[in-house]
Amino acid sequence: MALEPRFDETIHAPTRLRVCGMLRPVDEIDFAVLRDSLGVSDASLSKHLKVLTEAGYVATTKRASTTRSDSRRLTWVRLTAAGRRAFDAHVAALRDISAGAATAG
Amino acid sequence: MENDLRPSDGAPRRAAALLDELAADRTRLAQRLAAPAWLYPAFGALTALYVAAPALEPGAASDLVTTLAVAATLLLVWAYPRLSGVRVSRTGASARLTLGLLLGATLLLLSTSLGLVALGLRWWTPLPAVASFALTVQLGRAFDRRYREHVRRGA
Repeated sequence: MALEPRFDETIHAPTRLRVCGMLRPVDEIDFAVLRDSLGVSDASLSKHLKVLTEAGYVATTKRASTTRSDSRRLTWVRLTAAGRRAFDAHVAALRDISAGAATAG
Repeated sequence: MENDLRPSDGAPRRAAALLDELAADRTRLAQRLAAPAWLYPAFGALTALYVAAPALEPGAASDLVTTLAVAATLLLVWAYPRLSGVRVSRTGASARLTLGLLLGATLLLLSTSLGLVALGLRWWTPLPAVASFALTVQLGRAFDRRYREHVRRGA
């Protein structure tokens, strides 16, 4: 089935777009790895993840660490099925726009 | 909003810049996923142990070595994504084929090892074990390159 381009304002904010782009090809990423890869602060990433989580696009899971000696748990972040669909549709919309055929959104 | 894409003359250029930035992020992620130098030699040592195990006298020692080699391999497969901070299961057809080849070659070399023992040529079993080590390192690294290329292109 062909992907329907759809511009998504929630995803389109620059950091959120990059978060979704990093999560799309993988199953899940540790919060710290995502933060370092994007070069953003803990607070900024948390804020954007909260927005994406509330939209149903991202889910987080806390798990015990295999490397930490203390009891703190790592947060793993993943795109949900809805998040994958929305991101793919948004990227398709960006491709349409970049090709000069602006889509209605 | 700095990346406002409402229809205007500059919108196609800004959309293209965003797509380029996503591609650059995927490239950085793929680079980050490169396995440390020790990983595939470690897998190679474990498969070599598994292939060489039939050379031991049948019984507890052989069973113990086989069990330890398989358990350590599974532990490494389980632990490595947790250490790296990224878990990827969609590795792409090319990487899956490479992994299939590696599994097939390991079973073939194990059969060779068992055949040598059955023929009374126990002291030749290091040969398939060394071949197993070399194949695991080479095909493991090929798997690593291919699945990272899959990530770089976007799954």
